[in-house]
Amino acid sequence: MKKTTCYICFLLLAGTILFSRCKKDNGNYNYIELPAFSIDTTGVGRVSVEQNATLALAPKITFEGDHSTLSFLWRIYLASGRGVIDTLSTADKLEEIIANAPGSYFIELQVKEPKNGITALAVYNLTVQEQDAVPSGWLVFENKDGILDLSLVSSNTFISGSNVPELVYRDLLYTRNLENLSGTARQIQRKNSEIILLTTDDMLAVGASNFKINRHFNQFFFNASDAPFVKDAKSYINNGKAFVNGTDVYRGSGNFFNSKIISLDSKGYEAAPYLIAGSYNDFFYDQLNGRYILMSEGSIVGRPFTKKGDLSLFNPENTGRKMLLGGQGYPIVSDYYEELVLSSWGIFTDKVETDRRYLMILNEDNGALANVDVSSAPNIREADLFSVGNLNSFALYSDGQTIRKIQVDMVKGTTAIFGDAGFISPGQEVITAMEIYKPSNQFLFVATWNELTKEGKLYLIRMNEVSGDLTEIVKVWTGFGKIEAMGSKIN
Amino acid sequence: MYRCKLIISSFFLSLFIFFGCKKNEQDPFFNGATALSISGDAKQGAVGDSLIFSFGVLNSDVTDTLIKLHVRAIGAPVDKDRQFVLSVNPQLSDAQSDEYEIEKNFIIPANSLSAIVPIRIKRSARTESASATLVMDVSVNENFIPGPKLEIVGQPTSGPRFTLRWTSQLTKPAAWDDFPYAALYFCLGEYSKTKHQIIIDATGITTYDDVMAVSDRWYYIYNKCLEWLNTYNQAHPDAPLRDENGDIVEFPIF
Repeated sequence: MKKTTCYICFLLLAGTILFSRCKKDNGNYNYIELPAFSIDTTGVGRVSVEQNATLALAPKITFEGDHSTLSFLWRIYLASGRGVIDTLSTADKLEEIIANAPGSYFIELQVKEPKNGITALAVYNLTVQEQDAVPSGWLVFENKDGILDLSLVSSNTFISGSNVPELVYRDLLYTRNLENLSGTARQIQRKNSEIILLTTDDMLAVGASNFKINRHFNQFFFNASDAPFVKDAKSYINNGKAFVNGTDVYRGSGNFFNSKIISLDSKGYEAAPYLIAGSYNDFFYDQLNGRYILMSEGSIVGRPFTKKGDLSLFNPENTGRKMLLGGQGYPIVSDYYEELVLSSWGIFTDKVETDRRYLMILNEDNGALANVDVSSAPNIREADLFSVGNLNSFALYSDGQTIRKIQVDMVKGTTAIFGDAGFISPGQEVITAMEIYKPSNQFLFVATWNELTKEGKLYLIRMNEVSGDLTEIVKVWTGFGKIEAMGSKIN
Repeated sequence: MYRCKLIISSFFLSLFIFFGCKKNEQDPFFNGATALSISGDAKQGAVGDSLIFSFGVLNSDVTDTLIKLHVRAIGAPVDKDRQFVLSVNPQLSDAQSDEYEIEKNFIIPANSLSAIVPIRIKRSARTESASATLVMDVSVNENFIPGPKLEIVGQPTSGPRFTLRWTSQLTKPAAWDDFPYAALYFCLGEYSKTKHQIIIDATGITTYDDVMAVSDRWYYIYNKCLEWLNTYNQAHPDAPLRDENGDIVEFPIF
């Protein structure tokens, strides 16, 4: 009996405790519905301003409440590294002079509403440019009655972002340097904060923003007295580690050239004017011995191309051919250092059967990739312009009148489709330069020259990045000299 | 029992305390006697208590040069000139009397603690194939005794003796393969006098302390030496350049 009573008491006690847990939790807080509150930065996420110019930003604020109660705080700070966080303004719209040094910054907007104490935050990417800085655009190297100069076209048709001006900056070299260049324009190449200009007579480095001439040819050499005479300088590699002077290749640390490449065997070499930049090694084509030659990082020793790949396509050490046109593009492979390495494309002629034309593709990592007889491609023998896509296996070529394409079957590596790409120069215009706009590969810039009217034109043509088909003329700029070289200047 | 523990504890405590009463042996050079120590000029290549100089890196027109020894007095300055004596150590020196010039009388000026002793060293026929060594010791006189040999982390910085060695041959630069740079070793391999001469002939560069690996200067030395050697070997196809040991001169190929 006593035991039963104990059980009952225990159950009652346990039950009481358990049921007490089921009490409704009323809490000590209230639910309220917060107003919608956000800042819309669509289309204005990236802004640029010249140093000491006024930056105006009018944020689109969505707020289900009384706007007059909102408080604003605009701040600016460096996009990377340590720096001071400056307060710019406490007004609802920013309209302030930006005195910060040229560089990349973040502009932060904090909007607070006092009733509920919530904050909306927006961050804008700001680029502060040098005063009188030339914006991003497409550079054309033009010849006006024997005088060379640079012009730049800027347009949001091919540059994304806000504040892209629809402008043409003309005669940049003369207006910024009061200096005239002679010769024939060969190449425009971006290297860090400089633009490298190659002519038949000189090599120059100009500031990418102010276009002031920083260096002439001799100053590209560690010891200026080592600089050779300019012998129709043809190609400056895009990593800055080599350039072709006549048939010699000069190489150095990347910042300076030292000496010309020496071939360890006794065969010597005559360089084709098209260099291919790798990430660690670069290479060029030796016309004299019909072979590719590898250049190690910073070394002037030229070595045979040892990664031969599929030798049934061709032997990079002995092709028996001479390169006529060259370019670099697809396929892009990632090397050991995870840097992108482009492939070398070239139109070749057979040294014996000089009427034949071949397209050969080679990559630093994979060796030979394609060897296609393109002798039947329309007007390939008259081709003097060549540009290779990065995103698929096609190249465009032109005989000065028509732009055609070669689409290579990279699986077999021995066949290709030829055809018109979709552009014929109008009237008396002759195509003088042609460059695919990279990295988007969605546009082709085509320069033409009319000898009768003495006017150069620049066409921006929409291009299918997979097929290379030219689908639409997007824009035409006029009033240039004879455009001999072109290149991108994206800040 | 408690008293016993207290006595033993006091005994050991006293023992520890009295250890602190050990006589402090003063450094003999702090007994008031003024002393002298010698060091070289780091800009001239002096390292600690010695200097090795090579005329080999200079134009052959240069037949002599002035080496400066820094003499420093230990002790308080006084208000009168103090003469001191530096003597050539005959056991350790082999420099001939016509291979150097040194003054006879040296003075620490009044109210000063240092003086410069110039020694003019000369090229000679002998130094074309050997080195000349001159060891200078501080001698005792009425003003000074030889100072202590001072060291920092085991490396001498100055002392009562200074060793000067010179030659007209090329001598291996410390920057060739010494920590932390070893810059020249990386690009040119093992040292040889022939390689050293190639650097001078190909680039005109004679000092290497500031040559960092993969710097612009380093690439320049490497590439110009490659170019120089290639030009030589092409001109002598059946007789590639050999170094002073008879080995064919080769540079690493990257």
